[in-house]
Amino acid sequence: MEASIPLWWYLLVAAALFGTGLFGALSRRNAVGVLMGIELMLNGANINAVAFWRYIAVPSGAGLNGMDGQVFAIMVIALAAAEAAVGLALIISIYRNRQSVLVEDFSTMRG
Amino acid sequence: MLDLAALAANAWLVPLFTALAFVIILVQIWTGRGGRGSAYTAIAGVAASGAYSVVLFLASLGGSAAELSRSPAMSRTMDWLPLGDGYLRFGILVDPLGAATAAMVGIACLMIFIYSSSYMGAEFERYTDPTSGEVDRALGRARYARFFAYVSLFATGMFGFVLASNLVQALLFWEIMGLCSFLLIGFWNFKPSAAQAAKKAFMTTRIGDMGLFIGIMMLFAFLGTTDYASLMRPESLARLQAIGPIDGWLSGMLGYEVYIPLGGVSVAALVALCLFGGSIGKSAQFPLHVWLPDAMEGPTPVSAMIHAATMVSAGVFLIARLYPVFASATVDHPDQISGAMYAVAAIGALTALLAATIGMAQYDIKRVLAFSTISQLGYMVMALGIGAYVAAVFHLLTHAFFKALLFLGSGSVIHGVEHGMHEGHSHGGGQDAGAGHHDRQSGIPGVAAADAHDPQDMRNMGGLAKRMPLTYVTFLAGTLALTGVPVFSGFWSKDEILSDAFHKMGDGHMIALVVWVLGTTAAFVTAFYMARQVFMVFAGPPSTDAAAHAPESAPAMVYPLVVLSVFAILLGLIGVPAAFPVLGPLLGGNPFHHYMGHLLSGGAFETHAFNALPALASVGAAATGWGLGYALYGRRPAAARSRDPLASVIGAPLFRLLNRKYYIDEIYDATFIRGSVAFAKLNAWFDRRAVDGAVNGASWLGSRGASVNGWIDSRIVDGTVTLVAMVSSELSRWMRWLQTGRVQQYLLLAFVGVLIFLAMNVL
Repeated sequence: MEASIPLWWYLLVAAALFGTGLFGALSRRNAVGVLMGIELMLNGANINAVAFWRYIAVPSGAGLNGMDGQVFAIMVIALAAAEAAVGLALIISIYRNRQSVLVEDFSTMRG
Repeated sequence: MLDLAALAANAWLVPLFTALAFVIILVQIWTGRGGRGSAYTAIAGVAASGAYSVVLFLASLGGSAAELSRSPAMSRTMDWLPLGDGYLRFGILVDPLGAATAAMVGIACLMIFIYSSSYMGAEFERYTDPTSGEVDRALGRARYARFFAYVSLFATGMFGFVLASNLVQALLFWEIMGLCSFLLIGFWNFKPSAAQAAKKAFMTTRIGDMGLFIGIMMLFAFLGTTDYASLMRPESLARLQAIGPIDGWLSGMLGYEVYIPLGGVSVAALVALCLFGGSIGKSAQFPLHVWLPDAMEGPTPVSAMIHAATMVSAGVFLIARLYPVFASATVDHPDQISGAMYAVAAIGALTALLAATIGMAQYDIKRVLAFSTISQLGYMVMALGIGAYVAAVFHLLTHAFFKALLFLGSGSVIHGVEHGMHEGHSHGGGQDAGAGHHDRQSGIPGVAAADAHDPQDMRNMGGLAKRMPLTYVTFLAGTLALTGVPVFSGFWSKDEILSDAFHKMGDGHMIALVVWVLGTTAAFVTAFYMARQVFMVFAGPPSTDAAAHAPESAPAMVYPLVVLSVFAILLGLIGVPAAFPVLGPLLGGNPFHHYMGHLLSGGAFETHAFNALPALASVGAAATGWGLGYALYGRRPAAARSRDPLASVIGAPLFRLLNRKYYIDEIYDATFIRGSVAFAKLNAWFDRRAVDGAVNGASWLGSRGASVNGWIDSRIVDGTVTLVAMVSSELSRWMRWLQTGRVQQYLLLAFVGVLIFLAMNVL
């Protein structure tokens, strides 16, 4: 069980998720899409955290009794949920004012 | 029996009543209700005050005069101003001097108020606006009320002064009187001469008041108190005397020897002379007498009340009140006439004669009386100067009544002549309007001719005895009292002064000889000018239509004259010398003497044997004066009114000198007034050139300095600030392109930044 799947597989999946998320966040015109990209990036980071915990902290004995990686992941999930809620509320509010969810329209802070 | 202690303790009510009347009249004026009611208010106020003071006086007669003058229960004081370690106290002091004077003031003021209600009423029924010439009844009523406000305030001042318990308080009321005098002399303020006279009176008395103020300050500095009761204590006076002469005192203060002119005069004498300065101003004594004749510009009741009966005697009262200070103002011989008193006596005697001689050559009916007042005040002052304290106070009281009577009588005459002028105009409608109104030459070079429209010029009168019988009889009573005709009040008081002087002379005092000679001469001159006045005004045929048509005055004016003439005739009987043949013992051996004499050194006041010589001399002087007056004016009064026979007797130049009052006004005008104007001009020049120059120079310098500062400010300080602003502005302009407002660009930048950091970390 131990050596069945090597660590780098997880890291690969995580990198793919993060890359997808990053691309989405930077390229989507729809603000909802940007939010979704951010969620993907967070989930990629979660996978990394859990994988490193399982493959490095537990075998070395440092984290056997601890649940560091999992707690980290749960914290990030909770945070992501809160962030999504706030982000969606912002988007709705902006939409009500400007009838648009396109990020390039949200440029009133331009210097 | 009246409780004297309680009465005296509540004597503060006396000035309060008139003060209340003053306030009520002010309210009446403000609410537009001034008028007849104001006169009644004022009369009620002064009647209450007068009644209280008369009752107080009568109660004080009850054998307790000694108690009255010494017992502290007779005065009531309260703390007023905190001063250092003590209080300046405000209170009431009732002693024989104060009680008697307050009673006199009360009666005289009441009569004058009643008189004024009619006299001033006639003035203002047809008050015409001086600029538009229209009759303004509302303003006339308001001015009528204002008159009574002023006189009520004046009465408050006089009562307060007479009953004050310390010098500062006395000064306060003294100045209230000065203010009222100013306001009332200038009451007809649309007349430039009245405004001028008011100013003159105010400023002249101010010179004397400065002396009084300095004197009070010195007393306070040396003795630490201004309370009469404390000042009069023998130990206080001894302390004042112990200071010694001025140069010694100054040397002691400064720590080195000083020599000043008259440095040998004692400090006590200096204090006394400063205080006497106040009296000189207020009582119009010689160098400062010039304001009183001009004060006749005021309404006649004012002349009677303020400038004859009451206020001007305040100066005499002040000396009498502070008599122990004056008497002790010597270093060597406390029992003798002190140095300060020599000066007082000399000034008084000089004034008495000087003013009397001027009075001989005046034509204005009121001015004659004004100079007579100055002269009589001189009598009182010289009496105090030779230590004839009781005689001076006695003369103060009798003079107040007969002089008020004479002034009111003259007011009645003026009123009658004024009416006569209106009558004459209405009667003479069809005839030549100028008939009887031609100006008659005086016949004396340098002496003004009679103005036919001047109701006060005696040359326009004559024959009024028949037209105004009551005025005539009462005026005659006042004249007989003033000229010292036996049995009338003025005889007793004036004779007492002269006989006291005669006795002091016997004790070897040279000054008493001067006083007696000048006083007796002045008595002769007084009789002469009063005879002249009576004959010119009342005798013979009238010289103008106005005099021929003059009616008797209203009852409200005539009856006060009658009341006052009773006093003028009978008041002297309270002071008949005990040793006077027949009358003396009959009238209780000079009760006034016993009453008033207690004030002095434990009641040990000398009474001397009756000597017929001074009495005969003064009666002889009066008789000669009357005789000469009759010879010159009584036999052919009409001729005397067109060319003054006195001028023929003494020569026109001398007459002119007297008529022009020895040119004292002109001398003052040429020296003090022109001098101060020139000095003021010099100051103005100095101010314009030097002071203004310095100020302008300073401002020029300031403006130069400011422009340098401005250059620094605008170039260097502002430059620095602008530079900082420009740099940040350029920087921010350059940074602006980063701030696109596109959230994804920010994200991309952040990502690139992370990558750069990572790369730097790896490398």
